[in-house]
Amino acid sequence: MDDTHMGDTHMRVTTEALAEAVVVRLAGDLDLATAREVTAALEDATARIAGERLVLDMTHVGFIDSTGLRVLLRAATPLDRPMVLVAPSGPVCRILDLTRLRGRFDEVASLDEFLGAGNQ
Amino acid sequence: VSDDGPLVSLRLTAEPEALVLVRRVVAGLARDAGFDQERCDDVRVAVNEACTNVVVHAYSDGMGLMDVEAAVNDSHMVVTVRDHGAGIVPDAESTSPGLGLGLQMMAALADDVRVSASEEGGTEVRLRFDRAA
Repeated sequence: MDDTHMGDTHMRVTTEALAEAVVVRLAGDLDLATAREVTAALEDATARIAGERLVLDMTHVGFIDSTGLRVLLRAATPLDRPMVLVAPSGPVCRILDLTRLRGRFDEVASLDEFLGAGNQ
Repeated sequence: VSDDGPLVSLRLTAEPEALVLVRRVVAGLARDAGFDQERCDDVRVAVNEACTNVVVHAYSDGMGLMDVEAAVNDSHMVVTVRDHGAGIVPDAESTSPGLGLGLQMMAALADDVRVSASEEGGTEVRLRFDRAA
């Protein structure tokens, strides 16, 4: 279903509800061309949360810019606990560090690490 | 950079879908010129921010063009992003969301950033990236 948008936006977004978390997985560049799609997915995921964490799997995001950062900040703002970023890539970490926004999020190396840590 | 003019010159419709192409071209040019991976990423992000400003802010009444020129020599790479829009030079006090953050990122990643009104109207952003010392 998401595939209908692949050619236009260079982004694949999937959402999965687990016992401990609602996980949004991204694959592609997070920029002005893909911000709307990712924002919509994160808003939908947030609406499904009832005590779980919001987890954003960034393993396959190789690029983020100021527009993408605003998407993350906007999604994180209404949450009771910090949004969890899974495996942000080197370029993404560098931008988070540069803008001093890395501390706004929790960060894990893998989804298994997050689930294994007994997060509820 | 050189009297011979730009190595690469792109004229694109100023739309979000153009950004990925610009990123590929300028990062590829930096890589071919021997810039290390981190420096290529700097170029990719900073040029993307300049182009994003054009897409978001230059043409309030609809579509327009965005020109990107890049040149490299032994000491640095220069990328110029130009629009033909209203000629509003971005300013840190703008209420437009994200404009300030994008400018901060450009300033942090490039060795020199110059924003000016272009001769034909519109705005020109010139980014210089020195080779890693």
